[in-house]
Amino acid sequence: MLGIKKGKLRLIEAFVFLIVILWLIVWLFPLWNVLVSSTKTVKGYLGSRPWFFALDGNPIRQFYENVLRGLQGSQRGNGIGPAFTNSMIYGVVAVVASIFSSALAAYALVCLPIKGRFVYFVILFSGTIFPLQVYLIPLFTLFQRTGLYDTKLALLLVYTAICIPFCVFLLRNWYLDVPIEIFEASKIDGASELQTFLHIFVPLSRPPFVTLFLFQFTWVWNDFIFGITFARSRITRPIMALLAGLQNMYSNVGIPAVLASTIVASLPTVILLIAFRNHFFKGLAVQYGGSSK
Amino acid sequence: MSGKNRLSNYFKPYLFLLPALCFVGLFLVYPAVNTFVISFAQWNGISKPLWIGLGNFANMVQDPAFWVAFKNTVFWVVGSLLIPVLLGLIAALLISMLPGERVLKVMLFLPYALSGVVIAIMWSYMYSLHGAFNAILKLVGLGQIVKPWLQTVPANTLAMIITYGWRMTGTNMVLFSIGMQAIPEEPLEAAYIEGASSWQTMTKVILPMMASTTAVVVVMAIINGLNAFDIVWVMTQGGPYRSSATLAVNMYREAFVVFKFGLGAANAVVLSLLVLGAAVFYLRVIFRRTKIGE
Repeated sequence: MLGIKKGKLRLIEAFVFLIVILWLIVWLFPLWNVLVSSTKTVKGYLGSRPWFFALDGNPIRQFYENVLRGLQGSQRGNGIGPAFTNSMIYGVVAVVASIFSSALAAYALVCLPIKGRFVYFVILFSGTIFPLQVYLIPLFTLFQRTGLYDTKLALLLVYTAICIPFCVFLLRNWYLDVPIEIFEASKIDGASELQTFLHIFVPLSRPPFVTLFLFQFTWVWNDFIFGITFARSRITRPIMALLAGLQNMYSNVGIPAVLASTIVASLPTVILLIAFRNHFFKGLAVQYGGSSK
Repeated sequence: MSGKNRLSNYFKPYLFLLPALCFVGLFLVYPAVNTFVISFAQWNGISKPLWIGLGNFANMVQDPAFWVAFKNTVFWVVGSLLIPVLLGLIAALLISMLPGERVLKVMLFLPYALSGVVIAIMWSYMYSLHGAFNAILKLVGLGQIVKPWLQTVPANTLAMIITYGWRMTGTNMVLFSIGMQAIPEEPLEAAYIEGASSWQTMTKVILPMMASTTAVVVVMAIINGLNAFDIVWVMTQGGPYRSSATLAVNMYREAFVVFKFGLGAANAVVLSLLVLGAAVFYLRVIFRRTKIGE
């Protein structure tokens, strides 16, 4: 990339390599610290070095116990187990719903005769710009008045809505590159608009669907502010809202169990990121640069 | 074709728009407009709202806590430009020179998958008096500066910005390296043939050609800095004594801790205006590259 002449600048390369390795050690230390700490007893955590295992027990067994304690919680029943399931439901259902309704809208905006289509697009897209704080008070009072406050449905609705703007944006860009002839040919064959959408456009959209699912699932899974604002009880709270509560001083599960819980809570998104890293890179490029590929 | 049929054909395309429009209209557009309206009222969410004009805004700017939050938010913006953007650029440049680029990239990018809450919890234990950070300081002979970092002003804001930098550097690195891959071969070859040093190639060819990537990354860093919430709320709740609050944290506190919805809404409006100001630029880039498609 930098036009380094072979042989001549080996030394610089070695130097850069050294810097990057040191950088990575610093960068991965917090993760290592969490991993090591979650294999300790509370006593071991306080009594040992933060960069190495405590030597007073079996770290693997202790890790297992910490994970269990985090999932089940202390006697007060504040474990993250139920919240893990809740967030799975929120992530999958809301994201699928928002991808589907966004695909319908993007298809209409590109292929169907709609007056003022750019205005509709701007309305749909507007949701990506505001800080989340701007939605909280009216939604909170709306949910209180309609009895939806602290229900799974309320969070599903909010999560579906918040994912739509980016989905519409990406899918619209994708459909603009689909040759119009495909649409015309299908029309001549006598297919209705909906049939053309379901049988031609949906199969064509697999790559953006995958990117969007990964991106928005990660967003919903990692959401905190909607979770703490619209859900209060254990049966509705999403995982990050519950995890934050597990850490506060009224909880008594112990630091190693809290840290083990952060590992459990991060597993789904970390696995997705490592398995589908190229989709994540692509999605970021779209989000930040507006290119569709 | 009967008149009725023609009418239904006219409205049919709009039915495809309807689900998305309903979700966005009801749960995003309506609340945003409504927050603006509520910001002119004194309201606790239960009794009748009392319309007080600009009273909330006047109270807000007379409250020293607002200006503390404002100052902290400025720190967050500057910090999120200095740490993750600059480090992200350096990382992208360094890693592009090495074999095993992909593995290194994924390792630096890993914090992207972690939530603000997870990161905040990890780091708040590291910053505590007996945590890893102080242990390392003692190890390298800096034992005299050991302190509970999150309880100390203004070190707590700096500590949280470093945490945020750890989270975002990888993201920015990925964006910069995408920008670098889009640079065509010819100018690089020309520079090589002309005998430019790698430093010259970098400053005269690569960096200028990444100007638009850099611009978007910078604007997004400003927007994210303005919106700083998760990390602060979990690590310090804006304390001690509201010393480390940001505008977003103040908004949440006014609205959902003391239930002054009008004041909270006013905070949200001010925050939105700041974010919109920064977003105008981002939108111009996005829309320039987005086909209108009419």
